[in-house]
Amino acid sequence: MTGRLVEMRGIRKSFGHVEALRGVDFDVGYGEIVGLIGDNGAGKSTLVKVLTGVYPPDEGEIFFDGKRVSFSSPADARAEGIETVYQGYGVAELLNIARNFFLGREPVKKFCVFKLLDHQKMFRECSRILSEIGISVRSPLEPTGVLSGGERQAINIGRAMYFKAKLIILDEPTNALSVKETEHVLQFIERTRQTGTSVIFITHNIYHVCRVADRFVLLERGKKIGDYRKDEVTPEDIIRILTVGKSEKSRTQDEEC
Amino acid sequence: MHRFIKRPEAGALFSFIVVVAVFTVLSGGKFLRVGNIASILAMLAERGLAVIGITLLMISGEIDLSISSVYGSSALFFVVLSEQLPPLTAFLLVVLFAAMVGLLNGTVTTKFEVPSIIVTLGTMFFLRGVIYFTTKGFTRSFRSQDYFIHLLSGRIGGSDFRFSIFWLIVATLLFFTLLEHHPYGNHVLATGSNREVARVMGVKVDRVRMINFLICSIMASLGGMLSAARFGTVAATHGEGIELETIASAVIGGTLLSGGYGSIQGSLIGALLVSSLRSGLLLSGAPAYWYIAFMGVILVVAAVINMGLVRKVLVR
Repeated sequence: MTGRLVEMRGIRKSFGHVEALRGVDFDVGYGEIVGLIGDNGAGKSTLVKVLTGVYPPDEGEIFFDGKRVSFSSPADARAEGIETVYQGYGVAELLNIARNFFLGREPVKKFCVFKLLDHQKMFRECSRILSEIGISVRSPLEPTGVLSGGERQAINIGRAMYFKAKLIILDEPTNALSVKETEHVLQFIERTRQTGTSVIFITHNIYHVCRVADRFVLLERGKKIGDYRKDEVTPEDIIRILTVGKSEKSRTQDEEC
Repeated sequence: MHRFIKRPEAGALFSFIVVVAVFTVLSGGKFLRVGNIASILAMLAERGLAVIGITLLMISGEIDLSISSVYGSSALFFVVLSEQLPPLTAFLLVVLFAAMVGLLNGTVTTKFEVPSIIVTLGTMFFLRGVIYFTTKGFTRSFRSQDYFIHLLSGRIGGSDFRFSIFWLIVATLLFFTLLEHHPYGNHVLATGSNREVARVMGVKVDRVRMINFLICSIMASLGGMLSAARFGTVAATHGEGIELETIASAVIGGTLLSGGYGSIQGSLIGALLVSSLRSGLLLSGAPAYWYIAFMGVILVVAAVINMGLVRKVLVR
């Protein structure tokens, strides 16, 4: 193995007559933040859905952490350390924050023969995470619905890190967020570097992804049209490649992103 | 205090206190007599078991209208089977029957994604038809006076109180713990609040819904058998209307019809309110059927208050 966390080889996926992915190679290194960029319908979401077991690929191989894998569901992928933070924030609004945070992985304490929720641990750990991500004004007992979009996003990323995910997939994490909230989420993504977690950051906002990514992978109509390290391109190059075409890439621009 | 007001059961508890105060005055103190309290509790025990079941199911975002027919048919089959079999065996067979009805409701709802209100409406009609067919419209009564039947809903010692309230307390503690203190309760709340999110977080949402249909049906069946044990006689119309009264109790107690929010204790306070209302109106000299009209008013008021609380959460 080449020491990559994720290796996807020759991935093809069609839905009826529509070829969503037409032989894509994609990989993510250990501790690397990869920006997956492309216009609507380029196949970005389909690619990560194939990775996380939402759809099986028609063709191609997937390796994760050195092992050949084919996950049959996102829960399956999650058990192996792949956390997806969904567009639309993905929280159950009526549950309190602590219950939401631990949903599906509740800590339990033995009580006679029963294993009951460890409310103290849930409260304590969740309070700690809330203060770490800078929303300490919230009590873990408040309903999740009172949180803003950015706060929900931050909690979802915080949860992925808390449960020691190897790979965090962020699907348009800054969509529909205010400028201030976007800043907050971007800062939070940068903190994944300290823990060595790998990140796939899906977006079509090039300026957001340039702030944090180490490498950019460009998709267009189901094909990979570019794969650049951060020091090879500027945001303007990326925009030009996506709008005009590959040949126009130039290195004459002064600033890098 | 502020935290308490936000709890699902706060509104129902407040209304209950008002109802008790009003009827104590209107009935000239008769409302608070031991005999009356015992009769309210006897009714509460039977309805309460069904309320617990429907609450759990409603929190997971589903509904079961067939509980009235399950309640009625369980009471009937318990009486009929006890003619041939020991009552304990009859009891267990009826529980098994209710479990099968619950599994059927759950399977059709989850596998074919038919709204549960339709599926269980069908089950309600079907089972009621079976009841009419079995009884030919007549009433059926227990012949034996087995000790087991006494243990279900007989009088405790020589008092006015019945064993049935004890079974309600046991069930309340059990399901309160399940909902508030067990991981399963968290899965139930999440399934009702946002099923897709719960699914991606690894909650087996179809299994949760299935188990809750099962529990709901069995609880209604137990309530029906308690009522059979109290009256000794079951009519073909036994339990009719219970489904809506039970759902109303849960809603009055702060449980959301749309799922994701509610509590066992709240729904039971709602059920207590409904039972008190019926008995209180009777003691105050109002015609018995007035209680239905009053329940309608309280139900709508409660639902409006609940929505106000929930909107604070959902608006953002």
